[in-house]
Amino acid sequence: MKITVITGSPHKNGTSSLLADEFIRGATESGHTIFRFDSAFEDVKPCLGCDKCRKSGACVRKDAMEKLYPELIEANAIVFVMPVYYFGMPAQIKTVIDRFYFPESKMKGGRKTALLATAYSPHNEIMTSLVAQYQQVADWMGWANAGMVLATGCGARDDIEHSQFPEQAFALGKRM
Amino acid sequence: MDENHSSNTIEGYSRRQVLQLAGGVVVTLLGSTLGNGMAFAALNGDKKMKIVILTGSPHEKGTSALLTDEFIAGAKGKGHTIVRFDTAFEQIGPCRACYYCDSHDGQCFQRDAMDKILPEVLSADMIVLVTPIYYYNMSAQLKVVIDRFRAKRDAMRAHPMKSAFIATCGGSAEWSMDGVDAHYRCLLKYLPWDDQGVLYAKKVYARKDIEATGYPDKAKEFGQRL
Repeated sequence: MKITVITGSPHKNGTSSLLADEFIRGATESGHTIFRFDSAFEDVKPCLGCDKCRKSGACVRKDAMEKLYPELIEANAIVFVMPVYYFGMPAQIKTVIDRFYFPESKMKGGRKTALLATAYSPHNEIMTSLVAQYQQVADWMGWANAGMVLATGCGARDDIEHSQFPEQAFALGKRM
Repeated sequence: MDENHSSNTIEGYSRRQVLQLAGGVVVTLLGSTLGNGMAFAALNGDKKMKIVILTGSPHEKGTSALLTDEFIAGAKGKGHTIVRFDTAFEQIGPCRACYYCDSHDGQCFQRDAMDKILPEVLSADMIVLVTPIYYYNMSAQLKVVIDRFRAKRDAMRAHPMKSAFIATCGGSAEWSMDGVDAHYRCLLKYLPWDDQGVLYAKKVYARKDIEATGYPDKAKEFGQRL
């Protein structure tokens, strides 16, 4: 499969990037091809809601989404990896997801998806609103949820390195 | 009608929904550990308030802008002062989670529109978040602002105020607002905000759609009852 992994963290070696690395290691071992897009390190501007894409077939924004769009359309799986900021996804990855609007019809159906998220809080409720949104997006796009790794209690790299979550991320990648 | 729930109704409903969506994740209520805004319910009484409105739409004359205008008309009529920031038209960089603010007295390293927004929020009696729904939650433009609350997180948690949430979406499903509502409910458990209600306008994709509904009147009434 072709798997597109979209990360949301501004930390290059943070908690969620470890999950991304482990997921990718597992998926690569199973023979899948990976395209990784680190939202926080790319130039992506927010959707203007101008609807011009629906009329002209092109987004008016010219930025890093131009390289992501083909990878979204051709992917067999789209995987989201991020820390939780204020009970939701970081603005950096939400900016990317809002821009799905243009190629949306070409991205619908026939794909798998997965969510790997980290949070400082040890309480499971920290994940509920992100998971709700993830499930709604998956339903809307017609994607099958391949699994979730919800790494609570992981505020820093040291926390997650001593948890079972990297292993779960590897296993999820492996069984994609 | 389900577009203007009382807090209790929608909280019970959405939590149940969210639990279902989350596959039965066991919940420890953050309300008991992180502070509960309801303790401040009677804070303002009949006092004239400063209301800070943060909108998230990139449309100057869209559906949520109309609800904002009507809400403001209602609230101004009651003598409240309005400070409005249309975040999609402001220059605001995303939080880099560098923790510079932790060692610089809550000051972010970024110099942008948050320099004017945060002092207003921290001196407000009420905060109102208004957004169109993009992929089941607030627009990225508004989420940038929420993430940047991080620099003032202690001050935010020490500043009780009233709050409201207004959202518009094209979808008409019963569950269209579940994701964003779950998000707002979580914010209410973390921040000492006293929820005054939500207004969720569904099935309004464009301006002409919402103009033909009762939502603008509801927004005005919402402002008037503060």
